[in-house]
Amino acid sequence: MVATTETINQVKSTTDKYKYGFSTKIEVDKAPKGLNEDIIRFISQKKDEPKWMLDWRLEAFKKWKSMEKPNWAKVSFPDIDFQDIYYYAAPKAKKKLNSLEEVDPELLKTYEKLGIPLNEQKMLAGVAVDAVFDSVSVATTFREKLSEVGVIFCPISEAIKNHPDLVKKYIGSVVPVTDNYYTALNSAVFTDGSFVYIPNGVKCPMELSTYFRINEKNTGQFERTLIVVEDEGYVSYLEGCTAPQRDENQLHAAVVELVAMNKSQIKYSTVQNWYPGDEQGKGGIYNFVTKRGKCLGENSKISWTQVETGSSITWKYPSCILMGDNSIGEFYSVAITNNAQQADTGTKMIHIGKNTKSTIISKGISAGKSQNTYRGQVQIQKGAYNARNFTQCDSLLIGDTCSAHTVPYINQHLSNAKVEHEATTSKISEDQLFYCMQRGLDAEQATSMIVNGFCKEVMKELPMEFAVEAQKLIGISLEGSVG
Amino acid sequence: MKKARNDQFFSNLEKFVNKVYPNQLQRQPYLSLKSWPSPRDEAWKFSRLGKLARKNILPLNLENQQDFSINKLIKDSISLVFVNGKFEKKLSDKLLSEIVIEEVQIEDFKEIINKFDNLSVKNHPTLNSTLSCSQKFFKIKFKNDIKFYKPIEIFNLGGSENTSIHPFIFIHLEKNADVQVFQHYSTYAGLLAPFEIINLSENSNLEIIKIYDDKINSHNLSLTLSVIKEEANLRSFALIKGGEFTRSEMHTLLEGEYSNADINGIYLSSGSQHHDLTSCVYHNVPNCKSSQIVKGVLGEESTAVFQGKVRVEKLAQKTEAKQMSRAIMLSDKAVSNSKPELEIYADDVICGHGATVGELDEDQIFYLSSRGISKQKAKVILIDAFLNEMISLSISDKFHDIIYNETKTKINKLLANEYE
Amino acid sequence: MPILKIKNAELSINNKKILKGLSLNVNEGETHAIMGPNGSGKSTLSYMLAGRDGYELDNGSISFDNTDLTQLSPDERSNLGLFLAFQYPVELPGVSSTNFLREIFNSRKKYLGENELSHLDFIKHLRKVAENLSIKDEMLKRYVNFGFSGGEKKRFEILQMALLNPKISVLDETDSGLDVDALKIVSEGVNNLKDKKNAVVVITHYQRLLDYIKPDIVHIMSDGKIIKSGDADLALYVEKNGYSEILNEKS
Repeated sequence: MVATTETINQVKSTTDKYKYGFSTKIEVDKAPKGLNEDIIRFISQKKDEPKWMLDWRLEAFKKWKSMEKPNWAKVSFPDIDFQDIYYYAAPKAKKKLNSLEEVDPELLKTYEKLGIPLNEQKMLAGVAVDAVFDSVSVATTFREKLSEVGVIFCPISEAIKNHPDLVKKYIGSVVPVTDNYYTALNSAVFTDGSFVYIPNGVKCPMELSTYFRINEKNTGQFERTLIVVEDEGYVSYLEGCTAPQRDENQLHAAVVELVAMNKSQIKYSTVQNWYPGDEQGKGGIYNFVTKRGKCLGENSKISWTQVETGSSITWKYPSCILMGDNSIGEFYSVAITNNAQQADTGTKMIHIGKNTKSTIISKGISAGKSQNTYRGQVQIQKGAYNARNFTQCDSLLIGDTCSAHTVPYINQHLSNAKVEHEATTSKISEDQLFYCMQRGLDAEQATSMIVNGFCKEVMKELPMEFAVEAQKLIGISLEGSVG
Repeated sequence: MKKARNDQFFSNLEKFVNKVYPNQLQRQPYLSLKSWPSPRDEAWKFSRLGKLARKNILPLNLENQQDFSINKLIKDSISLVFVNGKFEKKLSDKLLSEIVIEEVQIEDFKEIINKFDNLSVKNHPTLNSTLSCSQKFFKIKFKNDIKFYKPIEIFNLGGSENTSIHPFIFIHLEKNADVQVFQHYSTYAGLLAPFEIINLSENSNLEIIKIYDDKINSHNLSLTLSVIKEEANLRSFALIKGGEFTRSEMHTLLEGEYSNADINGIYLSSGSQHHDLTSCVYHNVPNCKSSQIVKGVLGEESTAVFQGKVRVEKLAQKTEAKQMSRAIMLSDKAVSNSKPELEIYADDVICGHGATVGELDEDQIFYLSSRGISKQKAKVILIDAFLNEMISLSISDKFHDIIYNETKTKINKLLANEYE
Repeated sequence: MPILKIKNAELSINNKKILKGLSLNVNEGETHAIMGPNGSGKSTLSYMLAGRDGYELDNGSISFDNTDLTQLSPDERSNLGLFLAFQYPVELPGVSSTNFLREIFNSRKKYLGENELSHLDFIKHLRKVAENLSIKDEMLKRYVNFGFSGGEKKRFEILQMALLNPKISVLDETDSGLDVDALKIVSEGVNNLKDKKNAVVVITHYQRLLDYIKPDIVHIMSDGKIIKSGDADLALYVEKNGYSEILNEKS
C-alpha cells in the first residue's frame, strides 16, 4: 500500500511520544569529560582493578589513537567528538547493598516504569537480573542460587577481581582489541558489563538477563560482556535495553564475546529499544556494537536472536566463528526503523571447521524516512569441508520515503560446501490490510499483525517471556507509519 | 619477491596523449585518474589489479601491419573489425544504408556519461584511459524502424603483451529499431580497455552478445554504459572464458517507462583465470523490469566474482527486478565471491535475489552413475544442463547452438584438466 | 426494519463506470441473492459495501442501520456489523489463525461494549464454533488462509462470520471452488447463523448455492444495475434459460 504523504503526516502528529522517555535524578560520581590516560587510570582505580587490567586498557588506548573510524556502513551522522563525552559515571555507592530494599528508591521506580520486575516475581519466573544502571551494576540477584550449580554470573568488574584467570584467558580472544575502532575504544574504557561462566556439563537452570539503561547525560556506555560455556554446558542469555529521552546524542559501543566449548550451546537474545530520537532523529542513541561468538569446540552451537527497534543509528553485526567441526551458528534478526532511524545490521558467518552449518534469517522493516540495511558475510574457508549456509533476508517497506538495502557478501574457497542466499523486498499488500480491516481491526492493528507475521520465523526463536514483549514492541515501533 | 605495484601506466598515458593529441582539450579531463583502483575501493574489493599494475604497459598507436582473418560465428552477418582499437574499414563488410558509422566527439556523448553519477563509473580506469587515448570515437547508428535480421559482428583484434588497446564504440538505436550485435574480444593485448555506450531510443530492441576470449595473458576491463528509453528492451549476454583477468562491467539506466533490461552472463574459468561480472541496474522510472542472472563454472585455481546491484529510485514504483547467481565449483582451489546487492527507495516493488554456490549435486551424479554413466560423463551432462538452461533463458533461439558450442570447448577442457 | 439501503449507487474505477445507479433494500430477517453474468459489477458491489480504497461512490448513498456508510473506513463498517466473505480470502503468512480470530473477536466485543474473553474461554468458544464447521484444531494452528485448500478457505470465512455475529453478511461467490460436501457444510453454517434480526446477501453466478441457502428475494444484476427482482423462482428460471433472455427482455 502506498500511504499518502498526507496520511503519514497526519498520523505522525498523533504518534505517541517515546514511552520510556523520562530521566531519573540520582547523584552521580563521575570523571570529567574527555579521554586520556588519566581517565583510564581513574576508571581502573574506581573499579579497584589489578595492574594487568590497567595495562591492557592502556595498550588498547594506544592502539585506538592510531585507528580510523569506520565509514563503510550506510549510515550518516555528525562527527563524534570523543573528548566531549563522560567516560565514567556511577550511582554513588552509599554502602554495600544486601537486598533490594536498600537500593535507591528512585532507581527502583525507574525500573518499574521500564517494566523490569526486579523482585520476587522475577525469581518465581526463574530469571536472575543483573541490572546495569549507567555503568555500575548495583543489584545482582539470585547469584547464590546459580553458584550452587557452579554458574558464575556477575558484573565483569567483579569477575576481574574474583576470577582473574578466566577473564585474562578469554577477554579479547573472540573480539581482538583492534578489531575495529569501537572495540579498541571499548577495551580502553569499558566500565562494566556481565560475566557468565558455565562449567562442564552444567545446564544453566534459569535464563540470565541484563537490562541496560543509559541514564546520565552524555555518558558513553561501554559495556563489556563475556560468556564462556564449558563442555556440554548450556546457557540462554537475555539482553534488553531502553533509554530515556535525551537532547544530545549518546554513544554506545559495547563488546560482547561468547566462547562455546565442545557440545555446548549459547543462546543470546536481545530486544533493543533505545531512544531513537525525535521525528528528525535528534537526540537518539548511537549504537555501535561488536558482538561475536566463537564455536571453539566440536558440535557447539551459538545462536543470536535480535529484535532491534530503537536507537537513531544501529551498527551491529553479531557474528559466529565456526571453528569446531560440526559447530552451528545461527542469526535471527528483526530490525525495524521508523522516522529518521538508520540501521546497518547483519552478521558474519565464518566457516572454518568441517561440517559446520549456519543459518541467517533477517527481516528488515523500514517506515517513515528511515534507512534499513542488511549487511552480511558468509565465508567458507579452505578446510571447511561440507559446510552449509542458508541465508534469507526479507525487507518490507512501509511508505515511500524509506529505503531498504541488502548487501550480502559470499566468499567461498572450497567446492565441497553449499551456500544459499535468498532475498526479497516487498510492501504490505493492500489486499492483506483490507482483509484485516474488514474483520474490524484498525490500520495500525492490522499492520502490526501483518508485520509480526512477516517476522514470525525470528520471533519464534525468542524465549517465551521476551517474545510477548517483543511482539508489542513491533506494534509500538510502527505507530504512525500507516494511514 | 613480488615487484611493487606501480601506476606507471597512467603517466605513460599522459605522455602519450599530450604527444599524440596535443590540441584535443576534450581529452584532458580524463587524464586526472592517476592510479589503479585499490582493493580498499569497494567496487574492486574482489577483483584486484595488483598484477595489472605490475605490468609494464604502453598505449599502442601503431598502424596495423599484420594480416588478420576473422572467423564469423554467423554466416550472413555483417562484420565490423577493430584492430588495436582502431576501426579497419578494409577488413570489415560493406555496410547497408540503414546503418551509419560516423566519427563523433566526446562532447556528443558526454551527456550520456554524466547520467551515471557515481564514483565507480567516473573513476573507472577504462572510461578514463579510453576517452583520453582512443584514436577515434565511432558511433554506429541504426535508423528508425529498422528490423535487422543480419546480425552485426564486431571483432576486437590485435594488441601485444606490453601494449594497451582502447576500442570505443557508441551503439545508437533510433526509434523502433531492432538489432542483434555480437562483440568478440580476441586480442593479445596486455590491457584491453573497451568502452561502449548503448543508447536505446523509444521502443527499440537490442540483443547484444559479448564473447570474451582474449589470449591468456590479457587483462580485459570492459565497461558498458546503457541508457534505455520508453518501451525499449536491452537483452545483454556475456560469455566470459578467456584472458588472465576479465571483468565485464555494465551499468544500465532505465529512464523510460515500460522498458526492460536483461543483463545475463556465463563465466567458465580455468587455470588461474580471474573472471568478474559486475552489473548495476538503475531503475529511475516506474513500471520497468530487469534481470541480472549469472551462472558460472570454476575449475582449478580460478577465481570468479559476481557483483550485482539493483537500485530502485523513489519514483520507480511497480519495478520488478530479479537477481540470481549460481556457481558450480569443480575444484577446492577455486574461489567464488558474490555480492548480490539491493538498494531500494520505493515501496511498491518486487525485488528478489538469490545466490547459490556449491559443487555438482552428488545425488544426481550417483543417479546417473547407477544408470551406467561414468562419473565424468555424468558431470558433463549436469554442467550441460546447467548452462543450457541459462542459454535458452538469455538469448534468441537462433543463436543457441552457436553459444552452446562456444561453451562446450571450454567445458571439455575444464573437465579434462580436473581429471588429469 | 431495513438494515441496508443502497440508493442510486454510481461508482467508477479507472474512469470506467461500473455501478450505474444501483438500488437495494435489505430488511432484518431477509436473505437476498444477487445473480448476474460475469462483469456485471457483483464483486465491485461487495467491495463498495465493505469500503475498500478506490471503491468510493461517485453518486448515491448507502446507509446501514441508519448510519451513513460512505465516510467510514473498512474496520468501522465491520465493527458496525457488516461482514464480507471474500471470494478470494487473503493469505497472511506468519499470522497464526487462532491469534487472528481472537483479535477480531475481541475487537468486535470491545466495540459492542461487551467483555472480551480470556484466552482460555476464547479457545473453548472457538472450538465449539469450529466443530460445527468441521474445522479441526490442526487448521487453526496454521497461518491465516496460508496453504489452505479452496474449501478450507471458505469454511474459515464462515468461521469468522460465526465469531463476529454480524448484522449483515455479504457472501461473495462463496460457492466457487467448493465440492458438494463442502458446499453443504458452508451453507449449513450460514443457515445456522441466520435469525430474525440479521440478514444475508448472497452474490453468486450460479443457482446451485441457492438450493442450500434459500433466498427470500432474488435480484438479477447486469451492467451495474439491478434489472429484475423476484422470488426464489427467478433463480430457477435463470438456471434453466440463462441470463440472455432476461437481458434481452430489458433492452
